[in-house]
Amino acid sequence: MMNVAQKILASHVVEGDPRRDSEIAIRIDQTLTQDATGTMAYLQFESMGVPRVKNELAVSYVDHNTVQIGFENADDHDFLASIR
Amino acid sequence: MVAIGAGGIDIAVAMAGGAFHIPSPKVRGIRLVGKLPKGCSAKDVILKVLEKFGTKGNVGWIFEYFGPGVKTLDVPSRATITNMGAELGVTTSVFPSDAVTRQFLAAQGREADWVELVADKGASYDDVFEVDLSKIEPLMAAPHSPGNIVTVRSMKGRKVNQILIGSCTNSSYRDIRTVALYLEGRHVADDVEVGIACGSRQVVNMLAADGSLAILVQAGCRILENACGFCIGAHMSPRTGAISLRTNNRNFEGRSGTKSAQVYLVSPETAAASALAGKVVDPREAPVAAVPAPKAFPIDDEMFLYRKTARKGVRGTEIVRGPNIAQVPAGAPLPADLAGIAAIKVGDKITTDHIMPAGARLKYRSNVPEYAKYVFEPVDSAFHDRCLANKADGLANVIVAGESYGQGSSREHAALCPMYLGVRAVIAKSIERIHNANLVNFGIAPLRFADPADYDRVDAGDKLSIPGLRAALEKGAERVTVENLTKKTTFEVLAGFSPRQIKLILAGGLLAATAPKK
Repeated sequence: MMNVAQKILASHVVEGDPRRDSEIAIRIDQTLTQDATGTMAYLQFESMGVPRVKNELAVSYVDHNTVQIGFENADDHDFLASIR
Repeated sequence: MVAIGAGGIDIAVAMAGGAFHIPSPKVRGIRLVGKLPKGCSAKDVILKVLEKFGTKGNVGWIFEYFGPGVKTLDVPSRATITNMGAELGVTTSVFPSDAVTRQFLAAQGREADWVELVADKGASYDDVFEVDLSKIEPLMAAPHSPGNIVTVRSMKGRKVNQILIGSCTNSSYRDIRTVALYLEGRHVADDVEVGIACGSRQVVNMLAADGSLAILVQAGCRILENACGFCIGAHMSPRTGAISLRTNNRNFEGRSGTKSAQVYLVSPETAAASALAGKVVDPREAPVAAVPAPKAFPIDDEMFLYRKTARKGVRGTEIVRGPNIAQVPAGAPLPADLAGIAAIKVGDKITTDHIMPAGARLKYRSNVPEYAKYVFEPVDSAFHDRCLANKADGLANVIVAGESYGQGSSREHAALCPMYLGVRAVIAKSIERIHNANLVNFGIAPLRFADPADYDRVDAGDKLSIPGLRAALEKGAERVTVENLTKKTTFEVLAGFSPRQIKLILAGGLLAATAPKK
C-alpha cells in the first residue's frame, strides 16, 4: 500500500532504497528552466558534450528578465532560443 | 507528477540522461477537511501550513495533501499551495490526481492525458497534520520571511503604499478574476499603487473576453507584463520604508529592490480588499462569489518554439552568444590540506537572495566573473574583494553560518560564484537541501558544526585549517577536526557525505568530475 508520493517515486528510483539509504537517485522525465538561471544550465549542458537532450521533455521558459535594461537580457533570450 | 527544485547543473545532468539524487524522502500527510469560508483561499491554506512548519527543519520531507477537503480545491488552488510549499524547504508537495484534475485537463483539451493517482486505502504517512479548511482565516507572511505568519485581523487598518497581484503563486484566471470581482464598479484608494501581473497570455485573453481587464484598468490598476517581475525585484520597487502587500511567495529583505520596504505576502482576496481602502482590510468583510472552474480554456500555444537541433540531414540553429555570455568556470580539485580563513560570518536563515541578489543584478547570471562581484552584496559588499585577496594569498575562503543557511530560491549561482571566488567550505549549524546540493556540485564542502555552540567561538577573519581533509573525506569520515589557528582552539564538524558527494567535493564539482577533457 503506497501513498501518492511513494507511488511516483517507486516508478522512478534507479539507485538506493528509500527505506534503508539516506540518499536515492531518481530518473527525471521532464526539465524546466527559466531564463535567469537557465542560461547557466544550458552552458553547463553544452560543456558536457552531449549533442541532444536525452530526457522526455526539456522546456526553457522565459519570464524573468523581461525588463531588459541593457543588452544582456535580450542576448540571453537569443541564446536560449538558439540552443533548442 | 512531482516537481523538485534543483540547481542548473543538476538540470543539465538530467538533460544528459543522468539520474538526480535526493535525500530519501519522508512523507508527511496534510489531511484537509471541511471547505474554505468565503473570502479565504488557497494562499491562506499554505500560509497556515507555513505557520506550523516554518521555513526550516523540513529538509528531506515531501508534503502530500489528502482527505475529504481536497476535492473542494480546484487545480489553480492546488497549484498555489504546492508552489509556495517550496518555502517550507520540502523536497516537493503533491496532491492526488482526481476528478477535479480530470475536469481541468478536459477543459484544457487534454482529457486523454488524465490518469487517476490517489493514495491506496490504508496507505500510511511518516507523520500527519490536519488542516480544517472551514477554520482558515486570512493570513499574511510578514517581513522578512514566508514563514513569519500573522493574521490579517491583527494588521487591520494599517496603511499600505503598494499592492502587487500576480507571480507564479497567484496569477491564475481564478485569482485575477476574483480581484476583478472585488474591484468591479470601484476605484483603488488614491494614495496606493496597484499592479496586476497575469500568469500567461491565455489568462489575459480570458480576462479581456469576460470584461475583467476593463474593470482592472478602470479601477486604477497598472497592468504589468506576464512575468516573474516584481517578485524577483526586476521592477516595481516600492518607495523607502513602504508597506507592500504582494501575492507572491518570497518577501526576503531587499528582494523587492528597496531594502527598507516591508513586504507582506497575502492572498489575492486580501490584496484586492486592501487596494480599495489603501489599508489592510479583511476580505471576509465583503467577500465575492467563488469563480467557477472554466469549462474550456481558450488554448494559445503560439509562443512555443520547438526543437531545431541539428540531426542527420537537418541543420540546427546556430548558437547565438552575446558578449555577456561567458565561459563556465571549472572547479579545481580539493587540496590535501585546507588552509583557510573565515571570509565572512553570517547569522541564521541566510537566503540565496542574501548570498546572490537578483533584482538589478539578475542580468549578470550568464557571466560568472561579473556576477561574482555581487556575492553577499546585501550583507557585506566587501566580500568579493576580500575573497580575491585571500585567494591571492593562497588561502581558501570559508563561509561560517548559522541555522538554515541557503534558504529560498534554487539559484546555483549562490554556490557557483563563491566557488569562483575561492570558497572551498561552508561551516554552518544547518544547510537547506537545494543549496546543500549546489555546494557539492561546485566542490564546496557543506560542513556542519558538531556542537552548534562552537559557532560563537569563531569570528570572521579567523584562520581555519583542516589538515588531511582530502584523505579524511576519501575514507568517508563522519567528522573532521578544524583548527582555529587565530584563537588556538579546535572544533569538530560533521561531514558524513555519500560516496557520490565525496567524489564531487574532491574533484572540485560536478563539471570537473564529469566533463570530457577538451
